[in-house]
Amino acid sequence: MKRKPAGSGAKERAGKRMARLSLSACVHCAICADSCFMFRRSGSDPTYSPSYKAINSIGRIIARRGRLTEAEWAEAQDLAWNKCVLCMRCYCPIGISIPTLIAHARSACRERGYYRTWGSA
Amino acid sequence: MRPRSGASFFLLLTAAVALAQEPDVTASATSTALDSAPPDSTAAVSEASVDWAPGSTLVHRVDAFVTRSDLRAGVLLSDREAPRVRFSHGLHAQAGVQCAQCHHTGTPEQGKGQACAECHKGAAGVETMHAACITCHRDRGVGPVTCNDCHRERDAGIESLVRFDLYDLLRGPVFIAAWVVFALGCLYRASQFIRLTVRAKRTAVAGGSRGDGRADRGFLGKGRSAPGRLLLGIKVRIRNTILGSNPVMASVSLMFHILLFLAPLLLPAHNTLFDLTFRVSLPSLPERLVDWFTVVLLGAGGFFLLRRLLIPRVRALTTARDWAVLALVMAPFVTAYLAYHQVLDYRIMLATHMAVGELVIAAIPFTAIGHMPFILFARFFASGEYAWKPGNRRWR
Repeated sequence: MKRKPAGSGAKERAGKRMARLSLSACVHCAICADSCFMFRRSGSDPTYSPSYKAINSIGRIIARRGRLTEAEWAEAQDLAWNKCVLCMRCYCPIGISIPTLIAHARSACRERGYYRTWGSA
Repeated sequence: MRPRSGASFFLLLTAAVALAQEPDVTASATSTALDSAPPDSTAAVSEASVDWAPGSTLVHRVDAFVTRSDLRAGVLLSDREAPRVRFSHGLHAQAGVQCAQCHHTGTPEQGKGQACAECHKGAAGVETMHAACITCHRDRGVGPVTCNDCHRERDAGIESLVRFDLYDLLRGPVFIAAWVVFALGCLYRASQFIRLTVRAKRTAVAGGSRGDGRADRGFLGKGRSAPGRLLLGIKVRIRNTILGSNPVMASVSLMFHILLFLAPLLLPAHNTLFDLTFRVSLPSLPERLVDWFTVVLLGAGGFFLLRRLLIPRVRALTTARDWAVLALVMAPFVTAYLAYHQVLDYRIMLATHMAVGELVIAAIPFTAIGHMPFILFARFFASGEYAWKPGNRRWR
């Protein structure tokens, strides 16, 4: 059976649209930060705030249509796999599903070969 | 003569300015009638007998005749400021208005030496005179019915560029266009939400909502009075929201968002326009109070600005887009405040206020202000732990 190229299926398209819709509504208020235990445990490192992780992974991947530099892919990988454990506890005041965004970021990263390896982080 | 249709607002604005510079037949006819009309005896007399502040067009004219004993007798001051009414006896005579319709007596001579406001005092006087003018204009289908068309200063200098064409345009077609864009944009966003979600089975987690403290009342509520129990419930509820975890940001934001709706909806000036257009309006709050609302809104805007600059987690997310959105949301309130307090040129400020206000309305579905429709989908139609009324949809 012939497989479709990765990222072109209906599921991926829906994911992209969902992320674009959600991130267009995001006001960058950073209220989500406090709800992330990794943010709190990191000593309030801004790169751990849930919205930062979503915007600089899936947000950037979509905005640039996947044309990221090596370093940017590595950052997206770090944000989506190492700085988020998908615990689903983050709270967005306007109801954006941040875990869904991070899950999409993981899918996009995985397609490019950027995923969690036992050696990383 | 007036550009009633067009592609973009800026084209219309340019066109309106260009038109205003051209000799406008109606406008020049009006101003000729105003200027060349012989100094009307009644107008001259009443003007002399009224206590005009020298050089000022902002006079509480209807309040000028209110005496102390009137106040004791319960006469209310109008307390409203507006440029004096530009009135032409010539135009009204031409339109066939009988003297007695306004002057009570057969000829203007008989009312000589008496200003309308001598009897029609204070707040009630405003109502009487507004009703007399506006009702007649409305019934006849001619003559101004909106504030600025009567309460206007003489066109001069750059002011003349912002003429009635632009005001009418912003009050009419551009206003409607802004709401049409808003409505279509929201429908588009709603359709996106529906297409990108599927019906979800309700699970215990997805269907549940945060604890409301009710379960605890059996233990802690014992021995407390009913109000005490209620207070405990409220305390528990609040502590478990961002009002509890981030009280400063949450309360500023809550107040900002409440006033963002209340201030424009309950402003007397907006309701007057609404009433003139649709003959219905919402209740109005006192102008002074809404003015304070605006001050609070501007303060909250300043708070958001400082937060963006000073708090690392917010700064890390901040892009040019966020500054643009903040500026866009605050612009109608800044211009409203400046216009109301007559700082800088009133007419230009008012036109700017209307233009940016309408721009914001149209921009809501397409910018980050789109969190306004978004929050409704997310809180009422999507399943989730944080939904207020969990719906039955989840993202694909």
